[in-house]
Amino acid sequence: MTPLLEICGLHVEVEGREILRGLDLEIPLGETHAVMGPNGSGKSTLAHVIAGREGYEITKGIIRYGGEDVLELEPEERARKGVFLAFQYPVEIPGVNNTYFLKAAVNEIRKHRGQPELDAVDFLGLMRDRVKLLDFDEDLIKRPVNEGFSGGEKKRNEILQMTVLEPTLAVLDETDSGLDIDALRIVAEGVNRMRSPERSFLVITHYQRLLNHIVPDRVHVLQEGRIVESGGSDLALRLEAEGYGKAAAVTA
Amino acid sequence: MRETAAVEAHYRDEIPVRQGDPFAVRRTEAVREFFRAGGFPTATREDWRFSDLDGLGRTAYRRYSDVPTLVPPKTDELPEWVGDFGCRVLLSEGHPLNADEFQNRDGLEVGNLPSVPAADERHDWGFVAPGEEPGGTEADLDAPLRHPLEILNAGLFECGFRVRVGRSQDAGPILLYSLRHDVGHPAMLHPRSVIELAPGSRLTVVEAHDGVSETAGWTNPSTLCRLGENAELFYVRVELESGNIAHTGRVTFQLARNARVHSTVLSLTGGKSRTDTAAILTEEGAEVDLEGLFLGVGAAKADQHTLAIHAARHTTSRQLFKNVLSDEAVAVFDGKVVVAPGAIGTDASQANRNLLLSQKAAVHTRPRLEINADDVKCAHGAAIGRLDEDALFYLRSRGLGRMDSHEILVRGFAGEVVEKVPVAAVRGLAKEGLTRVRESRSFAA
Ligand SMILES: Nc1ncnc2c1ncn2[C@@H]1O[C@H](COP(=O)(O)OP(=O)(O)OP(=O)(O)O)[C@@H](O)[C@H]1O
Ligand SMILES: [Mg+2]
Repeated sequence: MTPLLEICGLHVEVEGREILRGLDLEIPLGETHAVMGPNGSGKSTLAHVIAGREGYEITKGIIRYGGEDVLELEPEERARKGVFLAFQYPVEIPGVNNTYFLKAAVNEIRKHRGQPELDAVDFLGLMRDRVKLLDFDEDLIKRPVNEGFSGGEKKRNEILQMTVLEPTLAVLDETDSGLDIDALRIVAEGVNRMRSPERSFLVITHYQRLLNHIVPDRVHVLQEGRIVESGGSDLALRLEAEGYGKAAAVTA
Repeated sequence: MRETAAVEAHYRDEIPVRQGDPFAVRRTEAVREFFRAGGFPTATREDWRFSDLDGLGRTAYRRYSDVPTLVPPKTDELPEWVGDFGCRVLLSEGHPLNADEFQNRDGLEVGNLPSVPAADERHDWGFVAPGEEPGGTEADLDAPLRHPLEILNAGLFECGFRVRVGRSQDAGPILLYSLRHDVGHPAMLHPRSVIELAPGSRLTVVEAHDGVSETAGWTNPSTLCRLGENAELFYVRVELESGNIAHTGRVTFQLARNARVHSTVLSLTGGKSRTDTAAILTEEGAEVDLEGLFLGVGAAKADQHTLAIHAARHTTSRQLFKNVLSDEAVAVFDGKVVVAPGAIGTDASQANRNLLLSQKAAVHTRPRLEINADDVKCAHGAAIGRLDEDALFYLRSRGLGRMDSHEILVRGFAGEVVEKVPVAAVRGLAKEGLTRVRESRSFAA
């Protein structure tokens, strides 16, 4: 069966500098993969390129999603096909109400799927349900998107959006950093509840701790723009103990 | 020189004549004064650097009442939103369409400014006695009345309205709606409104200027709002004129002790406008919010001048003017704060924020602070920027289309001003303005 996400020989430049240098990664449908790697190794670049952000030059390679080459697709087209990115640094959008924004997003995606749009009542019902599950502060959803949110609140808002938008591929870029211990558990539970044979996760993290809660099917090490090592969930434990220097040496 | 003399003679001939008018002589003097001071301000004057109104002086505008073919429209030709107001003054070419509807109820009085004023109504009629300008550092409380176009309005106006709210009454929203048409001849309007709030009263008033004209037109309205102790006014001004109509308008607020004004100027014009908003905080505890939003498309230009005079202790002024500029739209913000000697505890802030959606749009912004007292807080800031790429990507990554994402961000930017407007019909007009921004050539190009 073709994997949900298939990245082959991906080279990406930003402002003339090569950040990803021949990256290969496959995530089968229904699996959760973790990507770990040092600061500046290209993890967020990978996440952005999967989501279709402009400003990255893809000089070589291919990204297939659901068997389709998506490199030419706009970010919104990818999102409507089920790609979701939880940002490492969620953006504050003054003047744009969280609920309004999310309702518009849900309905774009539903329209794409040929489902009827949700009206205000249905949407609020859906929101209320998700807000409760994630123990999210109700007042936050009435505020402008991320404006004045604490670091942890922003991360939780990303997960709230994910649970409302119900993507097929969710890329979580360091969603755990900035979360307190309880929030980490709640967010991990939120993710685990969504895990299903119909959905895949790409979890970018620096900390093995998160992977105690969200146990991945595979762990990949991203270093200097390449996946240098892949393994089972125990690889994260080894990295935690030994650091990245060793991993690079293994492939060398 | 001869040319100027001819223009002056033209405007002197335009002065309406009324029997028994105690200001008849004063009117002629006003027009003379205007021309003596240089006539139509040109860009060489500091206050008028970006308000190129030279064209006004070159056109021989006439009052509508001199235009023979005037057919006032029927009330059902008015835009739909006007119907939202239970209480309204509708003007066509400066003439009331619905004088029969005016009624005095619930403490609200609406009527014509008397055609022959009482001699002590000098201020209402825009006349400042000559030689009153204070010397030294003392604040000039009549400065707004010395504005050259205010003087010209005082000389030329023929129709006016007075709105009065009785003591401790809560009234409004009331609409003052002025519509003009193309009469095939350069026509000018100099309306004047006086709004008075008795102590402890509250009022919401919307002043709107509407109309399209291919032939050159000029609207030069003056509004004077006087608030008694502890009164509160929500004032919304909507500029909708387009085509070849030049708009030069002024609104002046005079605030007594603990009075509060919330003013919003919405420039939805397709033409060129200059608006001077002035607040004179004459007694302790007075507070004013002066806000503005310009949604500029095509070759529209909006020029916002503000003046907050803190003439007493512990007075507050907050200014927030925002511009959304597409195509070749141009915005000017010239905001002035004057703190009079002894006005300790003044709290004044001023912000001008600009969103440029096109390479060709332009902004000129200039804060001016004149502080003559100690222990005051004065903050000002200006920002000019484009839509945030990170925010655009964020929205698109959630499935929202490119155009929609741009629009959401623009609406978010404008919302800070629009959402505070206490009248739904006006918020609706702003939304229409935002739709025109979305449909503009440079949008998301
Ligand atoms: N817009 C940009 N302009 C210039 N350099 C960039 C840009 N975006 C990313 N980079 C560079 O690319 C490299 C990879 O950045 P990226 O954000 O992908 O790293 P990361 O693995 O996510 O790091 P971290 O763990 O700190 O989040 C860094 O050296 C970064 O400075
Ligand atoms: Mg990163």
